[in-house]
Parts: sequence; structure tokens; C-alpha cells
Amino acid sequence: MIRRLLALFQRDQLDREFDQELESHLAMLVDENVRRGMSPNEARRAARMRLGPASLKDQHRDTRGLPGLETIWLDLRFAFRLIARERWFSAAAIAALALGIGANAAGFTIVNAVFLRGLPFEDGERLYVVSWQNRSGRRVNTAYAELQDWRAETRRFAGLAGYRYATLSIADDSALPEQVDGAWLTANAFALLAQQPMLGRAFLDGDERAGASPVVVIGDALWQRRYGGDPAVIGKTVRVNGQPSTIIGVMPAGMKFPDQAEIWGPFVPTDGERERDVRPLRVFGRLNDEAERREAQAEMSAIGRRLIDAFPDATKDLTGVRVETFTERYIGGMGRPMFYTVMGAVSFVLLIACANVANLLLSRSAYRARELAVRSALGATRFRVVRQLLLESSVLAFIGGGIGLVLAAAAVRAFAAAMEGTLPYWIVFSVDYTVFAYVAGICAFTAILFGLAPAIHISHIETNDALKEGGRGQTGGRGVRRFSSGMVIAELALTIVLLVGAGQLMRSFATLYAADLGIDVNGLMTMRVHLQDDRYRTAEERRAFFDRLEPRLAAIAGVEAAAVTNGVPPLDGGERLLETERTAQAPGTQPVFVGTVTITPRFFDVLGVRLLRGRNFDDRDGAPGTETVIINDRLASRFFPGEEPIGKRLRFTQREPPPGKAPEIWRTIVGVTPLVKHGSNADSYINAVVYIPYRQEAPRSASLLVRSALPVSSVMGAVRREVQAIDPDQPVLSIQTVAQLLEQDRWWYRTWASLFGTLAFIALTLSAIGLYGLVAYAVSQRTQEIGVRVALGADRGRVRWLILGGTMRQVALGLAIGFAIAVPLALGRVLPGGLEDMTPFDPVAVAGIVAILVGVSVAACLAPVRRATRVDPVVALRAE
Amino acid sequence: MGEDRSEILQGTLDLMVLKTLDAMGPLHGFGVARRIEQLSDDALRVNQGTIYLCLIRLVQKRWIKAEWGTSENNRKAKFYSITKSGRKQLAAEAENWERVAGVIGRLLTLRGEQ
Repeated sequence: MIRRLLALFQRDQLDREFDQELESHLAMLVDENVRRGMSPNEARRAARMRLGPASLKDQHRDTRGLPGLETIWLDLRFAFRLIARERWFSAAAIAALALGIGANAAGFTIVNAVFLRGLPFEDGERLYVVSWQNRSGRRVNTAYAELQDWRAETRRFAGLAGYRYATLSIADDSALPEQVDGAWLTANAFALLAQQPMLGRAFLDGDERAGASPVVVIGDALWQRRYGGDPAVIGKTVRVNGQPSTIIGVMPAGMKFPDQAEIWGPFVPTDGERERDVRPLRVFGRLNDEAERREAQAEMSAIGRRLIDAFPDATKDLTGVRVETFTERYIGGMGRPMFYTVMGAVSFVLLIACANVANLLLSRSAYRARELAVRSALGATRFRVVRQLLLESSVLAFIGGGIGLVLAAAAVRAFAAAMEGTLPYWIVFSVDYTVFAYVAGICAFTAILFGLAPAIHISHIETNDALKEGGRGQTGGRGVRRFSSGMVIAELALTIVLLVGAGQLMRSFATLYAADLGIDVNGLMTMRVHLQDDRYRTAEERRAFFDRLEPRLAAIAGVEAAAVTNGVPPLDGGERLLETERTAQAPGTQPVFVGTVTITPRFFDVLGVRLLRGRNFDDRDGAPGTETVIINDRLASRFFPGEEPIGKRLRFTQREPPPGKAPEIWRTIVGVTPLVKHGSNADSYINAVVYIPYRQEAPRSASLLVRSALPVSSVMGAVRREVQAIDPDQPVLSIQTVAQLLEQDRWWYRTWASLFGTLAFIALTLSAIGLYGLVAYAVSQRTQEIGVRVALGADRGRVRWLILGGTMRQVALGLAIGFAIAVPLALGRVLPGGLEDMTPFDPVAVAGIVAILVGVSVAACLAPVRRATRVDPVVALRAE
Repeated sequence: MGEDRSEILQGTLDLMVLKTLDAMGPLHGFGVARRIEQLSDDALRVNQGTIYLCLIRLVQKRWIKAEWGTSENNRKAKFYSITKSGRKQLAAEAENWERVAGVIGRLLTLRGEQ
């Protein structure tokens, strides 16, 4: 067996050896014959006859090798030669395949990164998030004591740990104080993640005991940035939120659990956090080796029920425990349908590409018919012919796939760059082995998909007819035409669905883009401050800070106006349920979510917004007894249609207020503003906003809004100076212009819109090319008919119109069927992102699509028709 | 039916080649073909070329082995010689034939008696 395989590789050498053997044999025979008395020529001839037929060499090769494999190799070589010879055809097919498979590979890479891969830890797919669930289905954090209970009782989890996001300010002599994202972890967290530090050590149980000396572990980025990668950082002291802590370890680059964390500290619960109804922690765990997710879920649900029964007061709103993957916890929701849509879209593109190539192959069938007939005549079975054709399509598919993979890699990189910062850090878009395997599978699949039908059809061609001179046989027959038309209709339908979908998305985006912010963004800048819990415990202290800050900001040279808010347009400061005096009394009306923005009085000045009615806030608003709000006109028209809103009252409420809680205060409306954009269109409220004076609710996290003609850096420096004049340890973060903020807000939509736009464009291009090819071919097939008509005296122009008309009718039919399928599909779908005010059926887009496709068909007709009618009818009649 | 015949023919040819090589020692292809013709009194005049198909089969089955060498009239030729397993195969085949021949023989004499 092995010898046979080896014989394949040493083919040429073995052939030569055998030749030599035969030569010697022949020579010996000749000698003998000459000795017998024959003349040299006779001797030769007689010797050759004795030796045997010319097929001896082939028989020898077959006997010593593996004939099956050899023929496959031969076919492959033939396929390559064929592809090289028909350059345009191959290029068209490979291009189509590269686009189709490439798009698919890119889509799969994205889906793989988000859904199939786990966290970048050892056995990351065994890590699960465990959370309480409350009556509205929302997830709820866990209390410290509850975590201890869970840890004690679980058998399925090898361990459970808690974490809590934090924004920490760090200060020491190494650099300016800064605020970084970080997390408080229970001591076992690092061990559970199986994450070792690069330097130093991770937490030990002793670190989370009350009274233990404070320690922190820092991340690689922070280590490089602040300490220059100095290994002596271990043991250094740094003030974390004012508290001196020792750096005990450094985590390697890429470790940012749970999300963009740069520093970790042990979670040491305060007395308040030891209470059962205080829930600061999120919990994750690692499954035991033998445990399965289902069992873990069942177990945790049971444990949860026990705790609910045991501590009814603390677990009032809770209904159960949920165990889910990190992906489900952080992506599920809007992400999932979006990604499925992407996979659907790229599959469409692939199908369109396959339809194209199938048509291409079919249109070439006439050309191949004769060659294949010869093969059949020489004894090739139908199986062999089909196999050879499939091999050819496989070669095309794999070449196209290879190029497609390269394209996909580039596309994925661009996509990852665009998505930077919006997804959890552990989602890495990269082309890995899974993707390779997937692409290989797709290549094989598409090879069969677009190769099989033409292959079977071609192999059916009657040998006789095809061999006949000028024989078209069945190659131009109705079967082929119907199949091709079917393909084109399918292509059109798929393209139309894709285009309609993309069109919807892009138009919505255009609306978004054009949406008036309501303000002038020129020279408008914003910076963030975050007041730490421990230094600004009460609302009073926070208020005092902003009281002192605002005038200082306004006094900076070059600053035209300044204010403080927690909702810089286009963002908001949160959403709450609203009810008015009327709706509170009317039975059956549900409170509605509206946006809330907390502001200082000069907010509208900075933005350049003028109130429509009523008055602005002054320094008294928000003090007890003066609970006032300003609303925007959207809210006014929604809640107070046709009446004067000034003086009316509203209040915020909750869906299920906990019993015993004091009812919310009524607030009086004092002013109405025009629409300023707060919150994205995807939010559940309808851009109705309530402005709250900061005196009423001083925010902890706020943005400083400054309008100035000065460059950004000098403004930043000046602002920071003023802030630190009030509080030296208070950092100021992330200065940007409001224009930049607006761009960021649009990123999500812009990326998805351009993704779909690109796919739709690819689909349209492929369809147009396919349509062109098909129509051109169909017309060229009718060359004989055209020749006959012209020979019989028909007017050339008339003939042209005839052909054109015929083709157009076909295309129209195709489009009609395409739309009939596509439109209900498009109408029925809900686009992810929940964009409201979207016309599901956009006549402009539809008209555009139809125009393009019709235009392409006409263009495809023109050249061949012109050529056909110009040809001398006699030649046309005789032509194949 | 045709296949059966070629198989039988193959098997017989194998046996003859093995026997030839066993009796005559290493031979080249021409020599083997000539020898078989002589032994069978020219009754088996196969295409001399088919010898090589048989030879390559036997080489693959490791019953004979091949080596390049020079012939009597100074031509380069491949010489084939029987191997140990070839000899074993030969003995087994020969025994088989004898048995078959004996049975047939007895059958034939039986008919005669009747």
C-alpha cells in the first residue's frame, strides 16, 4: 500500500526506469531477431510487435500506483490549467467567491468572538455569572452575607467570588493624580479566574479581613504609564481614594477583568455592607469539573429559594437566582439580534455570489460541451465527468476562499477598531483556527452548491449532439434558460431584501445625523468630575462643591460661560418614570419614562438656548419649599397638550415602590425650553426631558460645560486649576469637545450602518454583474435567431427592440417575484436598535434599487444586441 | 467471465515466473519471458510486455526483488530474483496445483472406469 503511494510521488523516475527496461528488452529481442537472419528493420518491427501494445506503459503505471488518486491529481492539474487559460472567466468567478466567502468569514469571526469564545482565562467557558433576579426580570446584585451563604452551600461551583466596579482616584509622587477604572474583588477572585500576576502576588484571604493593611494590585497599562514599568513598584505606597495602600502585584497586559479595570483592591465590607439588604457585589463562579450548567442553575435556584424563605425582609423583591455566561450577562439583549442579522446578511451575500458563479459555469457549458463529449466517448463515466467538474469548482472555491479570508481579516480589523471601547475587553475580534475551519467548510459547501447543478446538467449532454459540428445540443435549451432565470430571480430577491434592510438602516441613520442637537456646538467643551463617596458623603457637601466651583469657572479668562450638569447633550442624566397630577389620578394610565438632567442655572446660557416660556432657574430653586423643574416642549405637548404647563406639577415615581417608602415630592414646572437632544433615539422615552436644579439633587458624577474660544488644552489646564483650588485631590477627567461627544454617540449606528451598507453594496454589485452576464449570454445565444430575422428582411432597429423587450420582460418578472418575496420579509422584521419613526417601506430606496437593476439589464442587452444585429446575417446563420 | 480468465491467467503466470526465477536464479525481464516460452514449448505466447506487469505485481507482494545490473551483451537491465517469502509462496502454490491435478486426474479416471 505504502509502496503504491510512494510510486505516485516517484512517478517520473519510475517511468524512466521502466522505459529503460523496455529499451533493453527491445534491444535484446532485436539482437535475437537479427541473429535469426532478419534485416535490422524487420527485426525491429517484429520485436516491437512481440513486446506488446503502446498502452503497456500506462498499464504499468496503473499496476504499480494508485490509479484512483492519480486521476484526481490529473483532474486537478487540468482544472488549474483551465482556470489559468480562461482568465476573465476565472477572475469573475473568483472575485464573486472572494466577496461572498470573505463576507461570510468576517461575519463568522465577529459572531465567534462574541458568542462562541469564552473569557480569556483558562477554561474560560466554565466561568459563569450568578445574580439575583427580581420581579421585573432585572438582575440584582448580591449581599456580602449572601455570597458567603452561597459559597458555603454550593457543590457544583468550585468557588464563587464577588466583584464590584469602582472608579478610583490614585495619587502619589510618581505622577499627577488620576482617576482610573478598577474593581474591588473578594480575595479568591484571582485564583478562581486562574489569573496569575506577572509580578508580586495576588490577594490572600488575610487581605480582605477588616483591619488588614490595605493592598492593591495594578494592571500592566497602569504600571507602564505611571511607574515606567519599574519592578521596584512592588511595596510602594499609593493613595487610593485617599487611603495609603501598598502595591503588592502587577497583572499582565490584557488582564482587565471585569471591564477595563486597571487596579484591583480587596473587597472589605463596611459595616453597612454587611447588612443583608445591602447589595454591592456581582458574583461569578467556576463550575466544578463534573458539574454542568444545568445542574448549577438548578442548585443555585434551590439555594436562592432557601435564602428567600429564610430572610423574607431582605429578599423582598427577589424571585430567584440566575446563572448565565458573561456574554449573556453583558451582551445579550440588543447584541444578539444584531449579530444574527449580520450572519443572515452575509449568508445572503454568499448565496448571491454562488448564484453568480453557478450562472457563469452554466453559461460556459456550451463551450465545455464538446470537450466533455470527447471524454465520454473515450470512456469516461458520468461519475468521472461530474467529479472532474466538481474538482474545478472546488479549486475556484478554495482560491476565492483564500482571497476572501484575507479580505475578511482586513475587514475584521477595521470593525474591531470601530468597536473599540464599546464592548467588554474580553471580546477580541481575531481570525483563529475556528474561523479557518469554518472557511474551509464554506469553500467545500459552496463548491458543491454552485458546482453541482451545472455539473450534472453538463454531464447529461448527449454525446452525439455535442460532437456534431456546430452542435449546441441541449446546451441552449429551455432547461438551462429556466435554471438561469431561476438563479437570477433568486439573486434579485436576496439583493432586494438586503438592500431594503440596509436602506432602512441608513435612512434612519441619516435622520439621526441630521437631527438637530438644538444647540450650537462651537467652542463647547466638557470635562468630568467624580466626587468620591468618602469625601463627599452628603448631598450638602456635593452642593457646596459645585456652589464654589461654578463662579470660579465663569471667571476664567477666555471662558464665555460655564455650568455644571450630569447630562451633556446628546447624553442625559438618567431616566425616570413620570406622572402628572392628572395621570396620577386617572385610573389605568401608566407612568412613562422621561429623561432627567440635573443642571446649574447657567446651563441654558452656555448652550445658547432660550426658554420658550416661563423662567430659568435661579439660586433659590431646589431649596426645600421650592421644588421646581423645567421641562422641554416635547414633554409639554405630550403631557399638557393645549394647556399652559407653567405652574402645573409633576413627580417621579417607581413601578413598584417598596412599602413604607415616603411618596415622592411634587415638583412645580417653572419653564419650558425648546428641544435639546438628550439621550439616543433608541431609548424608551420620546425625548421628553425634565431639568432638575442641582440644588435639589447635587450629582456625584458631573460634567463641567464650558464655552470658550480658547484651545482645548489651555481651557483644561485652567479648569483643573480652579477645581484643585477647591480640592487638591480632585482629578478632572476626559476633556472633549461636545462635537466629539456627538461623534461618539453616533459610532454605534455609524458602524452598523456602514457594515450593512457595505454588504448591500457588495450584494448589488454581485447581482448587477450576474445580471449582466446572464442577459448578455442569453442575447448572444439568440444570435442565430437575430440573423434569421435580419436575413428575412426585418428592420434592425425593430429587431433590437424585440430582443430588448424580451429581456426586459424577463427582468421585470424577476424583479416582481423578487419584490413579492422580499417586501413582506422586510416589513415583518423589526430592525435591531429599535429605531422609532422609521418608515418600513421607503419608496425612494425602492425606486433607486429598481432603477439600478433595470439600468444594468438594459446595459447588458445593448452591446450584444448591437453586435448581433450588425453581423452579416449569413455569418450569423452559420455561427454556432 | 473474462475477468475470471484473466485472474486465472495472472495466477498461473505468477507461478511460472516464480518457478523460473527459483530454478534459473536472477534473470532480467527478457530472460524470464524467453524462458517461459521455452518451457511451455511456445504454447504460451503472451505479449512479452505483460511479463512486466506480472513482475511489478510480484515485487509489490515482496515475492521477488529487483536490482539493476548488466546483461550478457553489456546492456543495462533490471534483474529479478526470488525472495524467501517468494519461495514459500511457490511451495504453497505448487502443492495446491498438485492437489488439484490429483483430484482432476482421479475424476477423469473414474469416468473412464464407468
